[in-house]
Amino acid sequence: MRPIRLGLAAALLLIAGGPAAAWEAPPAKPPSKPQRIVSLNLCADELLLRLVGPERLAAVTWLARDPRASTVAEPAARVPFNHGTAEEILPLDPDLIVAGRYTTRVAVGLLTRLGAPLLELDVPQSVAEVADQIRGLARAVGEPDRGEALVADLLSRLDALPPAPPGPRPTAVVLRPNGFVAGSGSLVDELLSRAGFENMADRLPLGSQGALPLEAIVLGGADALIVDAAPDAPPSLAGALLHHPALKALGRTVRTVSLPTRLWTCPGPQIAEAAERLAAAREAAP
Amino acid sequence: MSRVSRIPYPALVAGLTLLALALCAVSAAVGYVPFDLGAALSDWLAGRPTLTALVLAELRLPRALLGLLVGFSLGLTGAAMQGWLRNPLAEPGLVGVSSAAALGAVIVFYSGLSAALSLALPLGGMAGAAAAAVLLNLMAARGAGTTALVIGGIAINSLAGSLTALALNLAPNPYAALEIVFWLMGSLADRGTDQLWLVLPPMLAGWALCLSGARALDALTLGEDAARSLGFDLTGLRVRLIAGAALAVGSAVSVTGAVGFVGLVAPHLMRPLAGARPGRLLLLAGLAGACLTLAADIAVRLLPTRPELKLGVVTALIGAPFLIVLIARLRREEA
Amino acid sequence: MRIETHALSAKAGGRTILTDVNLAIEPGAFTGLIGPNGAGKTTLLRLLAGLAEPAAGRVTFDGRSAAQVGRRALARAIAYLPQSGPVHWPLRAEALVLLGRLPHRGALGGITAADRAAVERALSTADAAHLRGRIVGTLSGGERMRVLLARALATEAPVLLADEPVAALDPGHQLACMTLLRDTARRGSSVVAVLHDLTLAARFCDRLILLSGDGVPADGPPGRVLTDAHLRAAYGIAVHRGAAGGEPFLLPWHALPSPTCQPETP
Repeated sequence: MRPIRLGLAAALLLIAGGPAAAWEAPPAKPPSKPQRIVSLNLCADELLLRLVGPERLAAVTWLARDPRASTVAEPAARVPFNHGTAEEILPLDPDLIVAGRYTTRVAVGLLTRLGAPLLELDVPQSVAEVADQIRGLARAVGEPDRGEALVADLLSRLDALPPAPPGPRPTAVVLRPNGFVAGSGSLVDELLSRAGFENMADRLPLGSQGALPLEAIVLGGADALIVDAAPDAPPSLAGALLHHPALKALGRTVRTVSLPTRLWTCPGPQIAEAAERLAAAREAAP
Repeated sequence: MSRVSRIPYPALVAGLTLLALALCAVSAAVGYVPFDLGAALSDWLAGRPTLTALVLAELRLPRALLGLLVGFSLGLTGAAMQGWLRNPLAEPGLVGVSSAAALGAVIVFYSGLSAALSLALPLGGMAGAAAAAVLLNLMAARGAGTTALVIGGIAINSLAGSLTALALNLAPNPYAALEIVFWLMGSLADRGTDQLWLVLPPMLAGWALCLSGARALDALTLGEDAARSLGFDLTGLRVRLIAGAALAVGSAVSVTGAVGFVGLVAPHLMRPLAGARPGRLLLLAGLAGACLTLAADIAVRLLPTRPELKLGVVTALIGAPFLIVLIARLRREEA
Repeated sequence: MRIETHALSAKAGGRTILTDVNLAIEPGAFTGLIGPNGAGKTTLLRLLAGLAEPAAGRVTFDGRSAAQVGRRALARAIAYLPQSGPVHWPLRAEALVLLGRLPHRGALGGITAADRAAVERALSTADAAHLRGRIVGTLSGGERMRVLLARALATEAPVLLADEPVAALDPGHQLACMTLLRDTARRGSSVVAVLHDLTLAARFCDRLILLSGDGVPADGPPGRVLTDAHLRAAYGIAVHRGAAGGEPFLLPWHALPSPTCQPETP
């Protein structure tokens, strides 16, 4: 019955050009162990492919297959993919749809009105929030034990990071495409601090908000520059900024750490590796 | 007007050169983060790797010098195209040469060709610019009327603009689609020494080609037959000007995007000072274009907008009223 | 310089307008090129200037082809004044006249004293010296033609080819312009002008070349060319003749309903 109702409602919605109150369905309750899960968000892909077997995933995003952006490219290749449009999702007859809070808003809006079984993921700003998110999603897919195991592994790896030596910590600035930096109160800020760095983004001459001109980043005078590295990514001006000659010249006097994009784009267990690499870079300092 | 036009030509050239160099220095001094420029300069000259020396040498100076080069290229090419087509609306931006250059550069850049060979980037820009100039030549072979020129420009501009949008949407990098504003409006933000050295040689060659047409452009004041009767090879002139525009504008656009209106405003401002002589106008318009571009680039950094305005926004704010006045005047003259 | 045409044919818009034209333009004479609209006067003038390629036959300059003479040398030898003389930029008259010196200037050479002197001579010959500081666009039709003539004269070429120099002038300026062209020829140049006014042509020219449709029905002194028979055949008109001060004149009087009348083709 369900697929017919969902499909019919969608068709009427498209014909009518907008939802009439009578057609709005109450939100469907997902089963306790959903078997046809669809993900609309790369970060959801990262967690779902770790929590459940590929046979329970009806589709993940096309981004999950890209090894530059994803740490789960290999299992993702065994699952159908979507581009985050409602049209692709409905025929899959999902019993759980996982979306990001800030992505694919059009599809999510449509699916909400149709009463699809939807779970939206927030963007965690701390390790504690990451752990909560993993546990929450694990419960939603009926795999609380696997969730606990992932969290335990993440926390133990973070706890095992080498402690920073006493005294002032080296300062660091994280530079992302288009000249964005990671400010205080962000997850990256916490990773920096766990790795023994002091994030100096907020003390940059122009602050840490928005796209910054390179001179503000250079003149900040951080001990280390942590660059979001995607050496084999297709070209963009946003990425080209990270290869600016000024940064190459800066690299002669300050430490430059390249951190692969896939390790810290999403707040999943992979952030442990990001923190480990940061700590190793700090340790290797002269 | 009659008084200003009596300023001797060498004095005009010298004055504008000094102004352009002064604006270059101001451009290098104006930035987002103030620092001791004198100390930075002496550190840089002494080879001391301080952060301020690095910012001066790798960010401020390349930006100022590129502003100078790009502005000169646009002003000079504008004057050359106007002399060639004998129409004050002929300008790389309006007639679509700049947007076609942007298309060429976009295809080369986002396909990854320029990552393999950096020279491919200006070459892509040149190919686009040359294609538009050849197309323009076909449309306006016998002295372009304003209507033909403007309509041809609209056609080339919209075609190149939509193909640029298409190329950016097809580009595999998710950031690409957001970068169309840079290519259509232009910016000197965070340009580097690598780009400076990349475009300097083709620009100089383009300038030489355009300037070599000075006498023939003077003769063209009297129409094509009279110019040929005065001993000028107009086919050769056409080839030189198309090549010169392609080299100068193509390489400029490939590193800064399409900055509009400089090629329109600079020759227009300088024409009375040049006594309307198309040959003399070339160098003056180039220098005025450099001054305009540098001033606009200083303005985008002084305005309190963040992230900074695209350079083309400022030049369009200055240039569009010029264009409206010019079109009104041309319509009166052609009526 | 002696310009000759040998079995010259030309086409315009796919139509043959000159066939087997054999002419010689000699120094020291003022030649008028007359004929109905579309007879090929402008085409012939452009061929004489080396600006167009003939469909058949050839044009020689002192016995050599234009390519043999060379573009620059030809430009120093032949001054060409196009029809309606466009001026595309608001130049000052003096700067415009200076353009006539371009064939004499080296690739990088500046303006020499000789150039200045030639410009002065041309300005005074054309009675345009007082206009030197004016912007060309602000001149009246007569003043403008004087400046354009001065531009052509400034080249000091042995040959001056002018396409309809008096077409847009009032009678006073027409007479002044014709006098100037005749005087230029008297000083030893060849002057060839395309003319529509038959009275002026008859009075001032040493020689008239009548073009009509496909050939040259008459070529020689005005008295021998402007006969009733030639005018009827070429223009389809009858003229009224008279004499004033010992000089003959003629006035086109009425059009003849003749099949030889050429349609108007600009």
